[in-house]
Amino acid sequence: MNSSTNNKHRHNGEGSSIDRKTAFLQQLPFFHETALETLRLYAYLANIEKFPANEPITVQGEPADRMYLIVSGRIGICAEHRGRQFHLQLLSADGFNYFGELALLAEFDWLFSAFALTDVTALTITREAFHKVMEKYPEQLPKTVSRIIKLRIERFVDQTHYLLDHLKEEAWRECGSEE
Amino acid sequence: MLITRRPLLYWVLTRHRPLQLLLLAVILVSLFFRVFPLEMQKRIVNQAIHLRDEQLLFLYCALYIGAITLASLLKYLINVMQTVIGQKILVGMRNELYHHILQLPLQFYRKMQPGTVISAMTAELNAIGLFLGGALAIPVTSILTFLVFLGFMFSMSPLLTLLTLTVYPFELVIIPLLQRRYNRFNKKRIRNTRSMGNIVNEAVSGIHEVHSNSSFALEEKRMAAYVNRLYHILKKLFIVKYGMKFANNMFQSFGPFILFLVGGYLAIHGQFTLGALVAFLSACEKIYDPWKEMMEYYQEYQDASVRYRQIMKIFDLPPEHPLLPEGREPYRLRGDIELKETGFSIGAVKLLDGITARIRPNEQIALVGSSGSGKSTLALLVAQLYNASHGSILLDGREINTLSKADISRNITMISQQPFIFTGTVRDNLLYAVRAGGDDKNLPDRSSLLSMVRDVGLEEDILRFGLNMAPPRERIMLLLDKFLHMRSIIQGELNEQFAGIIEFYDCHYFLTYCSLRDNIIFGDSLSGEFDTEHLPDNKVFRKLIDERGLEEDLVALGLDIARKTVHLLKDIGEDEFFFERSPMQANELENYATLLDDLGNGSPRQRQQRNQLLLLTLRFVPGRHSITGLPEGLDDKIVAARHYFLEHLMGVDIEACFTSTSRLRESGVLASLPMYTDPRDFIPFCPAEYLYRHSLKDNIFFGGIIRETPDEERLYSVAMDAFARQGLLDEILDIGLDFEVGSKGDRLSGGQRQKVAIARALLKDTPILIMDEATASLDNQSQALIQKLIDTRYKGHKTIIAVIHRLDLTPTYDRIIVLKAGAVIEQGTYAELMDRQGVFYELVHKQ
Repeated sequence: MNSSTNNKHRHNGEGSSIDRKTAFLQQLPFFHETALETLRLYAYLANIEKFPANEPITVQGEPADRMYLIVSGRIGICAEHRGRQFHLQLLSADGFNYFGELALLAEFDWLFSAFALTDVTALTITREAFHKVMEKYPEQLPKTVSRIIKLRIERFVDQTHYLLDHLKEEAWRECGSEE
Repeated sequence: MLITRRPLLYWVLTRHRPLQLLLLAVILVSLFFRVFPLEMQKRIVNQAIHLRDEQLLFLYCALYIGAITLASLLKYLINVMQTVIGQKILVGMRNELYHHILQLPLQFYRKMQPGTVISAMTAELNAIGLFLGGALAIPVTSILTFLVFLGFMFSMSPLLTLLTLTVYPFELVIIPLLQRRYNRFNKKRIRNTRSMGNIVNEAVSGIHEVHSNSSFALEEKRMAAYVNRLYHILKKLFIVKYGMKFANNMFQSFGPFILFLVGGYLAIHGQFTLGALVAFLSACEKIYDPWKEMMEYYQEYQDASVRYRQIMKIFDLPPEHPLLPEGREPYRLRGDIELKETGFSIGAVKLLDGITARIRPNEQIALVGSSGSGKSTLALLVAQLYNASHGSILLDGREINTLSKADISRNITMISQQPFIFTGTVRDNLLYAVRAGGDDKNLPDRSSLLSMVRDVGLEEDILRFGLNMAPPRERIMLLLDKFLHMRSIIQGELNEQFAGIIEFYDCHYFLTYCSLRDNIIFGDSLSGEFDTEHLPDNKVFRKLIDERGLEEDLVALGLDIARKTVHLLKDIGEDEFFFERSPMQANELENYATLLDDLGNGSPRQRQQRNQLLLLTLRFVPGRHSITGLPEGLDDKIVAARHYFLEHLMGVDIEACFTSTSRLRESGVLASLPMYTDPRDFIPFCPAEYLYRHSLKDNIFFGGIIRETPDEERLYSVAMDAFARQGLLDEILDIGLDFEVGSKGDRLSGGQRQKVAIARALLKDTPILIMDEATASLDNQSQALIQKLIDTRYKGHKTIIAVIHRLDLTPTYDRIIVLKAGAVIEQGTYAELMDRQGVFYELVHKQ
C-alpha cells in the first residue's frame, strides 16, 4: 500500500451523515411508505460500501445477508446457468435502484451475481439490522413484507420481459401445446 | 477417628498445645498484674493518704500505673495469641474437613446441594474459629481471675464477700434455661440459611433457564419464603439473646447495691476501713468481669457447638476408598477388566443386573444401548466412581473395592459427556489430570502439549486465543523480532490482501477507522495514563488541546454525538446492536440524556459535563460510527496536534517515525526509532514499536480494522501460513494456552470445553480410558478426528471403554457390548452382531 491508498479513507465520514442517507432512502420507491423515524434508523444502520469498476459485488452461491441500494454507478446482474453467465438486468443509480431485498426476509444463497460496471457506491442494509428495526416497530412488519414482495414481483415481471425479448425464435411455442 | 465424629473440644485439646500452654502462662502472669492494683488502691488510701506520706503516695501510684499498663499490654498479647491459635486450629479443621468432603462418594453429592456445602465450609466454620481461639484460655482466665478476686475480697471481709456472691446462683439457673431456647432457634437459623444458600445457588447456576422462562417472580417467591422465615427466627433468637444480656446486667447492678448498703453500714460503725471499702468496691466491680466472661463463654460455646454439630452432621459419612494403598506403591495395571454378575441398584430400582463380561488388556470396547440401558452407570462402576451393589469387578484380577483412589487414578481416566472445566487457563485445565498425580516433574513438555492440542483439533481455537492476548512483556521480548517481522510481512508482502480490511497506522494521515483518541495520542502508555477514560483529566492532554485550540471542536463534536444518539436511540432500550455505530454505550444513554436536559440549548460550561462529552469524542471512530460525520477540517487539525504531541510533549523523533513508515511501505523494512532508550512509558504507533498492552493481533496487523469481511477466514489462513513460515505457530499456540477460560470454562464453546477435556484425559495417558459419550457434543468433523486418534494412536495400546450413542462409530471397535434395561443382551464384533441380525442390527437400522 502506498500512502495515497491509506489516504482514500480520509473523508469517509463525509456524506455519511444520517440526514443525507435518510434523504436518499426517502427517494427510493422501496421506502415510500416507511415512517421517517424508522427511515432514520435504517439510515443510521446502513453501511456505505464502495466497489471499483469490474469488481464483483455479490457472487452467486454465496450467502445473501444484505440489501444493496445503489447511490452511484452502474451494476450488471448476471446468472450462471450450465457454466455460462447470462446477463439479466442492468441497474443504475438514476432509477433509484436496489437489489437483494429478499435477503432481508430469509436466509438463502445469492441466485445471481452482481458486478460493478463502473465505480459503484451503495448503501447496504443487513438482514440483522432489518430484523432489529422490525423488532422495535413490529406493527410495520406486515406492510414492509408486503411491499418487498410487490416490488419483487415487479422486478420479476421486468426480468421475464427482458428474457422473453431476448428469446430465440425457435423457443417460442403456442400456449397450451405440449412440445 | 472420623473427622465428623470428633467433639468440638477435641480440636482445642489436641492442637497447638505448646502455644496454648504459653498462652496460659501469660494469662497467669497477667492475673497478678490485675490484682496488684487493688492492693495498691487499698494502700494509697489506708497508708499514703492516711499517713500523709507523699513519698509513699508517689511510690504506690507509680506501682499502680505500672501494673495497670502491664496488665493492659498482657491483655493485648492474650487477645492476639487467642486469635492466632483460633485461626491456626481453624486452618487445620477446614483443611481436614475439605479433604474429607472431597472424598465423599458421588452418591453423597447426588443428594447434597452445593449451597449447603459452601455455606458450611465458609461462613459457618468462620464463626467457630472465633470461638476456638479462646476456648481454653477464656474459661481458665475467667475462673482463675474470679477465684483470685474472690480470695482477695474474702481476705478483707468474708461477710461482704458472701453477701456479694448471693446473686450468682440465680444466674446459674436462668441463663442455661434461656440458652436452651437460644440453641433451638440457632439450629433453625442455620438450616434456614443453608436452604437460602441453595435457592440462590440454584437460581445462579440455572440463570439461563430463569431468563429464558422469565421465572423471576417464581424464583423471588421461593426466596421470599426463606427470607421471611429467617426474619421470624432471628427475631425470636435476638429476643432471647438480649434477654440473657438483660439478666446479666441486672445481676451486675445488684452487687454494688448490697456492698454500699452493708459495707457502708460497717464503715460508719468503724468495722471496716475506708481503704478496704474502696478496694472491695473495685474488686466487686472487677469480679463481675470474669463472671460475665464465663457467661459469655458459655453462650459462645453453646453457639459454636450447635454450628459445629450441624456442620459435621451433614458430612458424617466415611469415604468409600482409602486415598493411598497401604505399604506399597500404587499398582500399574495392564488394563484387564472382568465383570462378574455385577449389579447396581438405587433403593429398590435395579439399574444394572448380572453383568458378566471380560475386557482384555488393550481391547477397545463400545458400550451401546438405548437411553436408560445402564451403559453410563456401568462405565462409572468400572471407574470406581460408583460401587457395585452386588457381584464384583476385577481389575487385573484384583477386586476393585480393595483398590485405593491412587490405584484407580494412576490407571483409569474417564471423560464424561459434560466435563467440568476449572477456572484458570487452558494450560491449567490441560495439565489438571497430570498434576493431580502430584508429580510435577513428569509434566508433559511443550511439544507434547502442543501436539495434543493439535491432535484433538484445538489448534485453530487456541491460535485465535493467542492472537487476541497481550502476553507479558518478558515473553514478547524473546520473540519481538519475529512479531515485528510478521508486521512487515502483512504490510509488505501481504499488503494487497490486507489493505482492504486494515487501515495501517501511518503518522502522516488521519485514520478513519481508529478512534480520535488513537488519532491524537497515536501511541500507548504502559502506565495507562493516556487511556481514553483517563484522558479528559490528563494534564498533558489538556495542555495539548488547549494549546492547539482543539478543545472547543472536540467538545462540540461530543455534544453533536450525544444529541444525535440520544435523539435517535432514546426509545430503543438497551439493545447493544443499535449502539455499535455510536461511541455511546447503551447503559450511558440515560446519563447523557440528563446531561442534555441540563444543558438545554446552552453550551457545556461545567468541567464534568465537558469531560463527559470529550469522552464520546475520544471514542469516536469516524469510519464505524455512522451517528455523525467528522466536521470539515478537524482531521487536519487532529493530525497537526498529533505531530505536536509526539514531537514536543512526548519527545518522539517524529522524522524517524515518518521515515520508517515510508520505508516499511516501500521496501518492507522496519527501522526503529533511534532516539529511544529503554525503559520508557510512551510507545508511539511507529512501525518498529511494539505495543505491549495490545493483543498480538493488534501488533501484527498494526492498524484499525476497516470491516469484518466475509474474506476474513481466507485472510486468516493467509496470515497463518505466514506465521507458520516464520516458525511462530508454536509460540502463538503456547501463548494461547494461557487464555483464561472463565468460571466453569464459560468463555469456551461447548465443543472447545469437550476437546479440552479429551486432551486433558489423553495427556494423563493411563492404561484404561473410559469415554462416556465423550465426543457426543462435537461436530461430525471433530468427532471423526477424535475417533481416528483412538483407532490409530491408541489401538493396541490402551484398554478403551467407549459409551457410544452414534452407532456408525462402532465398526472400528474390537468388540461391542449391547445393553438393554441394565443387562447385557449381545456382545461380539461389529461383523458378528450384524450377521446375527439381533438387537444391535435393529438399532443400527433404526438410526
